[in-house]
Amino acid sequence: MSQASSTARPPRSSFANAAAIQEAIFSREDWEFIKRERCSALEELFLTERKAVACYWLTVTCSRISAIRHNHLQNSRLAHNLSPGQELRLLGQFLYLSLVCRVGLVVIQLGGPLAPANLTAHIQRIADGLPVARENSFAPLREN
Amino acid sequence: MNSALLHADARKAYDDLWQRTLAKINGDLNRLIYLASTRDYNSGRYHHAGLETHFGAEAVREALETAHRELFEKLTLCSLEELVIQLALYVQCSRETPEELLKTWRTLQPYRVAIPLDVEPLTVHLFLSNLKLALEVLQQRQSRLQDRP
Repeated sequence: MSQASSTARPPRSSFANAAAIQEAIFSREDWEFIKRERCSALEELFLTERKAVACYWLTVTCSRISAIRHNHLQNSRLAHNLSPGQELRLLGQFLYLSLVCRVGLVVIQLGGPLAPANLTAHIQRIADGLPVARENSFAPLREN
Repeated sequence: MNSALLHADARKAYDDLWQRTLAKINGDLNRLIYLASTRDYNSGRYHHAGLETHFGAEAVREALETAHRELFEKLTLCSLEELVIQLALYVQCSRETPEELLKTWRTLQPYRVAIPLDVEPLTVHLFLSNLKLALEVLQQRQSRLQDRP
């Protein structure tokens, strides 16, 4: 690493494994721990706090997916070797992920912060497979 | 930055930091607070006079920053139960009484200075939320102890 690059700010992405943060937010283990404390005020606080973080995760993920889609569309305009089938499949994935993120937000409102744990893991898995443009100003969902 | 990606001098400074300093500090939260204290509040730059006599200032800065980010990541991703254990250790090592420390931490939130620069807001959100919960768990336990005849 050169002197010049070492003085530059590190990227905003702090985690090599975005799935780890998803697991931490939607962890049932934390809820079980809080329940063992046998304090209703604590349980209430946990649900409120985790709900806020879970909604934030879904909002951030949805924004990232939109940003990746936007960058992909911009890059596609310059590409000469586009495959219509692959582009259609990607469009389907972008739309599906955006929809599922919104469903996740509804599930949190109805069933609590841990209810969409499987759904968010599913979102994370698909999002990890999306092409991440280098020009993307957001943190990549997958380390390349 | 990941410690595996550090360049040679920074790597040596990082290893030295762990062997001579961080290994002797009890608990990751204590280590995190210590590392945050090596950062200048105004410039955000890390300094460690002892290490800087053996390694270059830039290598030391890189080593401190990397260790800080790694510990922050570890504490953010650990379970709530583990975070409560770490916080209890911090309280135990502090010179303040548990009541005093918990009151100060819950009201002034001094732990916010322990957040490294340029961390994703989502990560910060999760860390602060978990620490708030950990403080409440300890506060509840403390109140129960005081209520006992």
